[in-house]
Amino acid sequence: MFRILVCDDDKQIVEAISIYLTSEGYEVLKAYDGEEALSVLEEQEEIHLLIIDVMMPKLDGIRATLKIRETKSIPIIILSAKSEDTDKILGLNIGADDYMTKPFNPLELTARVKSQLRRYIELGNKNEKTENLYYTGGLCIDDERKEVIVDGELVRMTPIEYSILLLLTKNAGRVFSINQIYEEIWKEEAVGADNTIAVHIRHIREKIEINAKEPKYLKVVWGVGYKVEKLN
Amino acid sequence: MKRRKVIAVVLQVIAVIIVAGSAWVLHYNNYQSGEKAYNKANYEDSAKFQEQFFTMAEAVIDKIHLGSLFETNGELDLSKPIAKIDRGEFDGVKTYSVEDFIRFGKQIGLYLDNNNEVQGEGNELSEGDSGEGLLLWKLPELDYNIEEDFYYIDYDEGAEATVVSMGSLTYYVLEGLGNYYKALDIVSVETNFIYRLAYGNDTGEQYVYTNAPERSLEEIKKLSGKYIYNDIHAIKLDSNLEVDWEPINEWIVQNNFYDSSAYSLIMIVDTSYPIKTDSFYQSHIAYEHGRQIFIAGNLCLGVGLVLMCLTCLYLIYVSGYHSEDGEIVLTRLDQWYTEPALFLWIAIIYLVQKGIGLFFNYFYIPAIYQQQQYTVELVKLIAIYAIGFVALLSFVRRIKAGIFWRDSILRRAILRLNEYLDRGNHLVKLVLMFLLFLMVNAAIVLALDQYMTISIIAAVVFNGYSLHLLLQRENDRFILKEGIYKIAAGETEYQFEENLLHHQEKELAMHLNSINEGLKNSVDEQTKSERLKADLITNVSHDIKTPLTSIINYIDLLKREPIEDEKVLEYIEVLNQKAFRLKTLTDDLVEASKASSGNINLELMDIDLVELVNQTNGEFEEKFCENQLQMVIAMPEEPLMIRADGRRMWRVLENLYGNVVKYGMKDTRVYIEVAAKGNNVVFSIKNVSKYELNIHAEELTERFVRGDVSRNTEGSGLGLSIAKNLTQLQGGVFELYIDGDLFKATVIMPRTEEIQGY
Repeated sequence: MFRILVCDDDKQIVEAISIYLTSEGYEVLKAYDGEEALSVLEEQEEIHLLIIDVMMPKLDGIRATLKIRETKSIPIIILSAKSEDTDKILGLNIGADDYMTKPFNPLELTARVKSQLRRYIELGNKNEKTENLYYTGGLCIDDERKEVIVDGELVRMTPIEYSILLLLTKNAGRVFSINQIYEEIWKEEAVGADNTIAVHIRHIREKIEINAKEPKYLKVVWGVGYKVEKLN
Repeated sequence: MKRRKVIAVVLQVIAVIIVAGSAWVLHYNNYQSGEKAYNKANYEDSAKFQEQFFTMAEAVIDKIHLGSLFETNGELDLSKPIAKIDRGEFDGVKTYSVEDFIRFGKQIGLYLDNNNEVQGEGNELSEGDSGEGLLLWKLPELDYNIEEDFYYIDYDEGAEATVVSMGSLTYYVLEGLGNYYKALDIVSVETNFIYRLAYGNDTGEQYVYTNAPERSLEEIKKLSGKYIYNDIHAIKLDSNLEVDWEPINEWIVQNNFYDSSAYSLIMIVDTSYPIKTDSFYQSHIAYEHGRQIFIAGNLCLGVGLVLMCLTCLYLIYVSGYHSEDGEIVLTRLDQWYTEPALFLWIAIIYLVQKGIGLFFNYFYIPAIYQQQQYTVELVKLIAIYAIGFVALLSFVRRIKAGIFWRDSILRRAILRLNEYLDRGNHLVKLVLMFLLFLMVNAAIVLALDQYMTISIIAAVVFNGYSLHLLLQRENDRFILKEGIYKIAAGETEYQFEENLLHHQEKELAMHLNSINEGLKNSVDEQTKSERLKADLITNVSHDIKTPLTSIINYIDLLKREPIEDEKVLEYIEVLNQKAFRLKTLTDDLVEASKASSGNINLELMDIDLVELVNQTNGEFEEKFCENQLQMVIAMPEEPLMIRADGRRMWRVLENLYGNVVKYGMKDTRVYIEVAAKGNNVVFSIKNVSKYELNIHAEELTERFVRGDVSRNTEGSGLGLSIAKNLTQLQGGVFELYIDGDLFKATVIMPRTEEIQGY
């Protein structure tokens, strides 16, 4: 039974999230500002995940996260109406594992919570194999078994999709243009404009990302190409 | 305060009276003696004494000298024969005594007057009288120089006698007699002046001229006093006087008639003054007296002057104040303009001065006429001083009140002139100044002749000053130039130091300073308002999103509740849609406002539009399929690079493609084209509209305008506006073309060179 702390100064939002999470089987604790969150984390029994808002009185989410990160490494999801890139970057840099903007899709929230929890548990059960194992963040490709595992769950892929994803994941962080991908996969020169690659990418994204519109792993560099983000 | 002033004035009046009085007394004390008359402590050391001594000595010499002619045994003897003259037919040979000459003189019109001066012409000769005679014999002492004769005389060589003119000879005798009388007058009084002139020969002293016969030379020598002493043995004159006695000395030596080998001369004034009636003693007393007055007078004068100065200064200092630390109070007259007041005062002084002169003339007192001159001048001076001082105080007050120059007509004239010149063409002004410069220099050159030093000084000063003005102007311009460059470069903080500049340049600097300040202020304001706007957008959007979150969440929760009622479900669905619409709208709003205000940080990179369109095609493949829209693609094989922000460009395309999905007629073709046209890269997307487009293309890109469509669609109406703004922000052109149901959107971007490899 996972225990999740939800912290937001808007009581209704906390209530709503709590309903979603308890319906998924999690135990939910509540806090309404940063200081309360800190004290709950201190006093209560082990908490496995924290969902925290940024704009709160007394102690805001960013500072609370910093404080928590001094002692704990539990997954933290920041949930905020601040949707600018700068806000997201800030949140992720100071130690949050994920950043969601309001208004949010409750299903997406739940999915992310699950994914984070899986990862958290998984870290304890890491396998030793390093060969032919390419991973970035929660995405792991086992080239021996030709398997793609995202956050512990197996994802089915077509061969083409697999090749593309493998190529990009092997070279995580590097951007490949459509033509480059084509040439790598088919070992031929790219002929003519072709949007099949783009379609494949789209499918891959649908499969491995929680929210295809805000991909975590497979990202589009518009006008240049595609890449898989290099996460630790 | 007032009392003190009154006291000061009274003191000043007293001081003036003292000064004037002292001056007056001193003047008359020194009158006819000059200022240095009383320099010496003792009379005997003074110049006057020397003079007196001299006069006496000369008189003594005269008496001795002339006495040899007119005296017998020390007494005047008018019957002493002087000359023997043959007058031929007229009078025969005759021995003339002094008396005879006097008589003859009277005949021809020469005589001695009361002052022992010879009067008359001496030409009233009787008829037939030639006025000449043959000089057969004359007394040797009769030192008559033939060549000095008035009349021309034929010097007949060989003749035993010379021809003389009776007239001139008589004149000579009378003159001598007159001088003798004069000397006698002086010498024959009882006096402290003792003289002894002795000519000696081998046998001892024989001829002694003295007025103290009872005393010997030694006795006389022993007297204390001022003296001169000389004898044949002495090399030079022995004297305790400070005068040049050479002439007398010479005379004694020259007139050694007795041809003696020894002589001695002593003249001495006995300063114990045994005789109280003589002129020396009188003079001595007078001198003492005069000197006392002199000292006292000078002292008084000194004190008076000091007092005058002090009171003067004090009055100047307090002039204008009616109370301690008070303000300057001006009299009516003080408030006049400077020049008229000045003239008034001068006029008053002039009139008063004239009046005093007239007054004294009118009340002319002949007895003190000579003295009167000085008195008159003194009174005039006092009057001038008094009026002048009052005038001075008036001007001092003006200066203190600061109106001296300010209220001067000259200044006003200059200001007015400047005004006129300012209004006038500044070129004219420049020409005038140059002419002035030339004129002054010309005047200096012309005056060089007469007033060389002054002219040179004036030339140096004037030209030096002109040069200084020129340099100063140039320097000021330079400072201005530097400052302007700085301001143009963006230093909004820069301010000119106005005190370093002058005249026009100072004005310019002041204006530039205020311009720059205005610039700085508006830049600051602009920045502030930009920041405010940016903050506003984020804050507002944040404030909207928070409650919106709750709405969406709870609607979703509602949906999960087991509800059977159809109507309720329908209502929930409506709420859901609208809530979602609100969300889209809020997002779009923020984006639109940022795009339109340019508040976006673009990350410009070189991207390939072909690649981008391919990616987009991939993204929308399914959606197009769902709506039975068929893509017809026309794109080149090589990349077409543009400089843009990839994400933003994607947003534009996403919007256009999205519109096609939303508003395109099902089961039609969508033409997508990318091509290079000249220096540009052109993307276009054409489709057939589901609905009637009865709006102009321009209007569609306006905010919140949508086609005449049903209400249930998702769009917020901002899409095209955002797309257009984003395109323009990246330096491109966004065009819409509508023809019937045909809808065409074009994006034109400038082309850049390809970067090899990635």
